[in-house]
Amino acid sequence: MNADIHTLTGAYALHALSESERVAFEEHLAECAACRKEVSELQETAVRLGSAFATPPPDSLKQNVLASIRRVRQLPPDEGSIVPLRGRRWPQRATALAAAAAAIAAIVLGSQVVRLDDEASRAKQQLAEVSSRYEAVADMIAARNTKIMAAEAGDMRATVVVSPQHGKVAFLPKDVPEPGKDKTYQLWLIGPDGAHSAGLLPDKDTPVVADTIEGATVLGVTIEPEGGSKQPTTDPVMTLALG
Amino acid sequence: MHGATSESASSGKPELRAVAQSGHQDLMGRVARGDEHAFAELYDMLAERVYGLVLRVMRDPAQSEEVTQEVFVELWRTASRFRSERGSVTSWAMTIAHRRAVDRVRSAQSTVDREARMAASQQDTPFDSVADEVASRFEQRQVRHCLDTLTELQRESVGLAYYQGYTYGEVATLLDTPLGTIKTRLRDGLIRLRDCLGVGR
Repeated sequence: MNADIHTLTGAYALHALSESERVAFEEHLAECAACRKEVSELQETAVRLGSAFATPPPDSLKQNVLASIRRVRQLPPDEGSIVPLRGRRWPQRATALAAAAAAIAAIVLGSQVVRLDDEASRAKQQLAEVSSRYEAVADMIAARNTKIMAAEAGDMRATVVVSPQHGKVAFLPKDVPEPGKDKTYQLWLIGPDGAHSAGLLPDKDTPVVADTIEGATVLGVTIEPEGGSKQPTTDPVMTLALG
Repeated sequence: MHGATSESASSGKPELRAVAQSGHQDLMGRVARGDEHAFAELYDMLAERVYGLVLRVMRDPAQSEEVTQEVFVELWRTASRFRSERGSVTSWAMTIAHRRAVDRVRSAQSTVDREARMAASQQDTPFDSVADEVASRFEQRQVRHCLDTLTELQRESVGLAYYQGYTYGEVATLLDTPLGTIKTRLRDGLIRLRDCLGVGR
């Protein structure tokens, strides 16, 4: 356990970290059981501080809340996630990127993306070989409504698996050129409220499985400085429409 | 010392808490399956605490109502993702509420507002609240008692971060104290509160 980052449990439980520290700390949390326990206890403590100020809201609020949930679809259960969901938004820049990515997806990739709807079983068989190592992906393939797509852009080729039932997206690299010195590939899910990191590609062979985001329409891949970025800093080298 | 009485009072609670917890879990199961009546029950159970906390951070009643509504919509939307082993329903809801209120305060407020707020908060200790702001007097007393066991720096840091929504960097500036010290005070302050309030297992 890194002693220095561990002292951030208090600030994290109080939501007193800056955005970049929060992201770094959540990555640490995913690997540190002791930190998760402490964070959960300190969050519970913070809740007690908050509960001391209980105040009845106006009566009309209840009707408003009940009326608004009737228009909101609930998320399906998510069995595998360990890291807390990230609900933050990147307003302007991300929206611009989403538009750019969608345009690229529509114009450039229209001809390059090959849907393998008919070849799903072939992909399934291929993926079964790695299923012992990548059970999460295998489960997704087995689920109903799962989409399997081949993506190609320049020298890069990959298979993308989208499972609405699991609420997950998997990116399986096939041919991936070197990203360059001190660079890494980073995956993004782009939805109505912008781009959300879906993780870094650890190497040219290992699949990445990420929680999908509400209304995600495009998956994008950018080259980022080692360690990744909070938001895309380069134009995507590959985008794929998920719809 | 008062600590002894309040601690023995709360040590009688775990059983009740456990019963309440399993009840809450059933309720969450029903909410996750789309039961609107169960959701109305959840609202009744949490609304005063959620609204009170949001109001405490945001100050503005109209905006607090708006954020409270967003919080409940999020609880509805993500009910199936709730995991009881990660903490109570109340803790889950209040954590979301605090996060939303803090996000709103940080993003919506102009620099000028923010500076004014920072200046105003220097005369504003976390617990100088008006009496009618507080519904749960027992909870309030216990929290106040436990806050009294903190050092002044711990108490101020925790209060500025939690009730005013400042980052620890801003807290360090406000209190003219090194960053590392604030980081540590937030953690050891909360740990002391945790032990005093009897949180944890």
